[in-house]
Amino acid sequence: MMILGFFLLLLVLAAAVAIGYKANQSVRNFDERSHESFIGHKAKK
Amino acid sequence: MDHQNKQRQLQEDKKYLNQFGYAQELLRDMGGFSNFAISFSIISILTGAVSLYTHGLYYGGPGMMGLGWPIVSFFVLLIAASMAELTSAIPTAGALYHWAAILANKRWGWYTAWINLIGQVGIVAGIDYSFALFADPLLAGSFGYTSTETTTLIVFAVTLLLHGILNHIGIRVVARLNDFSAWYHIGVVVILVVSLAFFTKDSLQPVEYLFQVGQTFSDKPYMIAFLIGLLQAQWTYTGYDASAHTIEETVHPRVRAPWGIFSSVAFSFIFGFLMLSVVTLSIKDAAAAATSDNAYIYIITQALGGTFGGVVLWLVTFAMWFCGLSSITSFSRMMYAFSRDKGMPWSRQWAEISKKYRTPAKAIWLVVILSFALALVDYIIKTVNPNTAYTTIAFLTAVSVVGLYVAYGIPIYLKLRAEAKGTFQAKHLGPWNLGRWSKPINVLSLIWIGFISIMMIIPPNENAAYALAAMFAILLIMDFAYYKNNFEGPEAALNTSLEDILKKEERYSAQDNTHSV
Repeated sequence: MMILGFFLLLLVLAAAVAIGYKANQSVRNFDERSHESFIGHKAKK
Repeated sequence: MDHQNKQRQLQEDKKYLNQFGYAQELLRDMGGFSNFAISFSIISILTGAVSLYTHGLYYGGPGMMGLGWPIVSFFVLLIAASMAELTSAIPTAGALYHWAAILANKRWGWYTAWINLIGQVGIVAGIDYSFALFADPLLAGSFGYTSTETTTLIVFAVTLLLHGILNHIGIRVVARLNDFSAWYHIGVVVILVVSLAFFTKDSLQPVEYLFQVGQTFSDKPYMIAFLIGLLQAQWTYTGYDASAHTIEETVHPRVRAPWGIFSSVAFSFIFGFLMLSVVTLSIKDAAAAATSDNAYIYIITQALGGTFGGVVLWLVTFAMWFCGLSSITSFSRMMYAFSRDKGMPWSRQWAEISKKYRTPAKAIWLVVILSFALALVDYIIKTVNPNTAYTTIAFLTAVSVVGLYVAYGIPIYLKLRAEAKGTFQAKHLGPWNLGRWSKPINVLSLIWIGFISIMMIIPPNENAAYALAAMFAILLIMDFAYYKNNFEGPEAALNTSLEDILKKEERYSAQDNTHSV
């Protein structure tokens, strides 16, 4: 069970780092010019 | 950020908010750390994991800490990432309910708001009750009285009152206390780890003790007991939507608030695991600890002795006080935003911002009253029937877990649905997004939310199921009595002219110029 425990710990850390890295890349590559605010259906009329 | 850049950013943030039809009424002054700190303080590993330590140990044994904590943490990270993405795309204080309303329709939004509200009442009540559960016996020991359900309720009421006053009149004090709270939590974890690692009376258990399975002190089969025990970790990981609810008070919100949500969960995992590990490895007699009134107090006192142990326990208890303070801040912003859209009876009252204090004062006091009422109902039930099997804290926390996680899940599901229909597209995502990872992360999040919601309301916590069912029945009645005729939804704000928005903002800009540093 100790092996399972350490595996779970590494899994969580890996998930945190991977998602954090992905999000950071998205923030750096974000282009405001191609962004459109999602303000609901009424805004489209 | 220097002053000029900050002013430019503030203008940008304000204009983005104006697009949703809202004026900048709340004071936008929080930086990235403050936004992280409010969620980190509300998660508060020293509140949830500590106050439900008895619950976790009783049902799942020591292995609950070594295995249960990372299992729950993994799925919560996915949920937090899903919410962070939506926060970046739709940065308003209404958060969950606003997302649901515009991803689907106002009815979805209305139900999400009320379910979120029910969860938040449970959270505030649970946190301040946790503080009372720890402070009352400690005070009783110092002042020579007997701690009872009644004295605990009194301490709880006084705590709520203090939190209400501070939130009402001290917006900047609360902000500073919030920031301090994050460091305080980390500091206390370090003190706990060092104390137990180096100053414990006996040696620590071997590391494998932390991952031991098969030991439950309940009458349930181990696997079921383990799942019930997950409430400890799951309740700890609630309230990180605070970063979204305070988004209209955060500078550069579309980047900072999502990081606040995600990093508060990630850091809570690390510090929570450290804290739980050393406390669990300090156990000498798990059976005695699990069946004591408070396993955490029992273990610390046994390991460090009465005096040193008492000091450490007071440090932990104060962390709960900070947690409660922040939870009322978050809840009141959610209530303010929902009332701004006329989602509640007497909405105009709860949406009012105090010109003097720049806080949603009436919403704050309604939060205090509702939280006290929930705990009072439970107190009355127990007075009438003292042989109830559940604990007050398990009841309050189960109600809040289900309420909050269902409210977290609804907009995640609606986003997937809107993407499938083509109404929500990649161009609508904010800067903080998960790209192609979004869908699988969202799906896994929803599976866990469904699973954990069921686990939280099975026996012995079936009273939580009854309470939630009763609250939902009331919601249905309100839907037909109020919603149909009065709720316009957040999209109605789009009809507000820019002129009206700017007029509202003028009321506050003079004050902002006086107070800006």
